Amino acid sequence: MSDEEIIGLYREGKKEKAFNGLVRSYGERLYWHLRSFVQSHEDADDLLQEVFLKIWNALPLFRGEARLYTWVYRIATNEALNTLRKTRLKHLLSLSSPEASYVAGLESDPYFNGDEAQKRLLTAVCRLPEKQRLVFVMRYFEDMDYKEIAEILRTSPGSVKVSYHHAYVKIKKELSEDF
Amino acid sequence: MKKMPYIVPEGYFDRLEDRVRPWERPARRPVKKAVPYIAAAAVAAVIATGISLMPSRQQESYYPDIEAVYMEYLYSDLIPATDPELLFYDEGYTDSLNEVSDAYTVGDDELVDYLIESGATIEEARQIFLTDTLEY
Repeated sequence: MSDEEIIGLYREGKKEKAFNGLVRSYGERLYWHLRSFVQSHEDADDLLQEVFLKIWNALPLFRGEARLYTWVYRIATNEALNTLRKTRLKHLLSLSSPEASYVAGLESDPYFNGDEAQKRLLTAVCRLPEKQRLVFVMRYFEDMDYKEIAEILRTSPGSVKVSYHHAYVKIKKELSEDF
Repeated sequence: MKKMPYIVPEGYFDRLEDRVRPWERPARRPVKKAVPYIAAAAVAAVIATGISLMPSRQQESYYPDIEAVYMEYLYSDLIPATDPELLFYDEGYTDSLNEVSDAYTVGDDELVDYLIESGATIEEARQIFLTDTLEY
């Protein structure tokens, strides 16, 4: 279902049908967008449910100034950032390392089916500052272009390029130290 | 999109639409989540109240014993009939009151503007300009 069809259905009052169309169109993409920011499939599922709840509550406020795709992604990205911050705070209060916890989580995760190199890559991504992590995930894993990422993060394409470059250099350095 | 090194349970995305039904979700009760914050706020309020109720030595030396002063002047004719509260203030305070009132006097131009805006009649305006004191 296209964005126009979804919005059209919603404005006709067929809200649940519109929302189901939205879930069908964006559910899988949003899941993968969120997956790299949490430790387990269950956490990703919970976060995705929260994102869709926020989308449902915010739909009456959608004015069409941004594309539906951008708007939905922005909500998901904000929730991902909130999750990162809560995780960081939790580890700070318990004096534990978020990276160590992430690595341990990967090793025990039944839904992780990558090899050692991918594990190192995800660990290196986990160590990036928030914005660089977001930009890297969206560019490298989700193949978004700089303009799309800039629209979602409400920044300039130039800023996105700089963030991605910094992230890329850091990850490359970290991975080359491992080998 | 590069494949992330994760898998999902079989049929997860197919069933997503059936599972994500926010219109069926009961309204969140914020009470449980807010309890720790409410508790912290209550503790802070108790501490703040305790501190505010503690007698301050500085306060006692600055303010006179109001009861004693009042009793002293109770049957005297020194209490100003028009403004009994003035009894409790020193000359400096009353001087400063006059300074403040001078700063806030209304000029004739301002008065005219006000009368025009308020829609006062000509008779009412004459009354104000011709009398020196306001009558209660």
